[in-house]
Amino acid sequence: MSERRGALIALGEGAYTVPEIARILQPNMTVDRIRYWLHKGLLGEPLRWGSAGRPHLLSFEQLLRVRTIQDLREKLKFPLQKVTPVVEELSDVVFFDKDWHELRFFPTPKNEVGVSDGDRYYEVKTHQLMIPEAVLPELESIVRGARRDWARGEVGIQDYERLVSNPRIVAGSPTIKGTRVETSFVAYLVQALGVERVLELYPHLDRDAVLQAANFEGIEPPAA
Amino acid sequence: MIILSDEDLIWTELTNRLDELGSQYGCSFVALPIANRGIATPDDELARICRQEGAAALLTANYKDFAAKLVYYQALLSAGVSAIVLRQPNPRIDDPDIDYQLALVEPHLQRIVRQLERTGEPLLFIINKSGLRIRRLQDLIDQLST
Repeated sequence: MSERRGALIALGEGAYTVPEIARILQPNMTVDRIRYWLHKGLLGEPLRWGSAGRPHLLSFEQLLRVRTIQDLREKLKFPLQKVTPVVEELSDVVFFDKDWHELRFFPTPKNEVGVSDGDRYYEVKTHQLMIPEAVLPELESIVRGARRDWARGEVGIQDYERLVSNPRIVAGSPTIKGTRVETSFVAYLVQALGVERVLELYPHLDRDAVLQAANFEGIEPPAA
Repeated sequence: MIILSDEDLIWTELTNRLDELGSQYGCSFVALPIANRGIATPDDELARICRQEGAAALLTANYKDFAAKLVYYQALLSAGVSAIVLRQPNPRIDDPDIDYQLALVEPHLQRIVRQLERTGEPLLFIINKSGLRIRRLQDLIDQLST
């Protein structure tokens, strides 16, 4: 990792705008929802608060927090107010700490939720949020997904298996998987030059990847 | 002097024609090595690759979200990599193919080469149809942190 020397991020760290996170977490995520969560403090301090003409900038960890909150809300129907302390605790303790191994969630005698990786044990303070035992497997799956993506440093984009966001590649801008080529630039070239010309310019890209990039960016390839 | 094209601008014909153009100023254009294509070379490897190739700057393109991308360019400069960014035109007005990219670079190449030869610090060169802007790392840090 590069030296930061007073700069906002070092090379190899990601920086995401709110619209970019909404696009990566499509189709159910919206810009307004992320902004609301950001201002409510659910996501922690951004890398930079924006102002007129300057976007808020968020980290890769915050992107994963957004997705986790979304999953807790949509899949487990957790109310937003009560999601906050749970996400904060889980984020600080187990989501993003690589020392924890495979996690298992279980109810404690005090009706709280316990987390264990076999070696260690942690009790999540759920702050009156009753988490039924039946949803613990789904909670486990959500947390595992966040930890898996945190560990590998990459998130996939739903319905676009050839596209990813990796904070170490062009600072997290969506790219064609296995390349440094941004979806926005490919889509732009497709719009201007057509798919065949793009395939000539990048002989190592295939048609499916190029079409996915264009589609993800909302570009309809011009008729040949 | 060598300028390395990032994977977004590795187009063979563009590299060849830029190389021809640069020869009059003692400048060669080299595409990101094949070994680093199709493997998603991380940003933090770029500084090493530039050193390995003896490159004085990285050539890349920008079409979207320039204000957000400044953070990435600042990170490149912080790692000691100068960058030349070709900002792209509205595709409804201009065709961004090879001739357009060449026309962006040509009027400014001599000045860029001279600056890179003289400077002891990494620089960001931003080129669009209106001209060339040169930013220092400290300029970017000040802009991003205020």
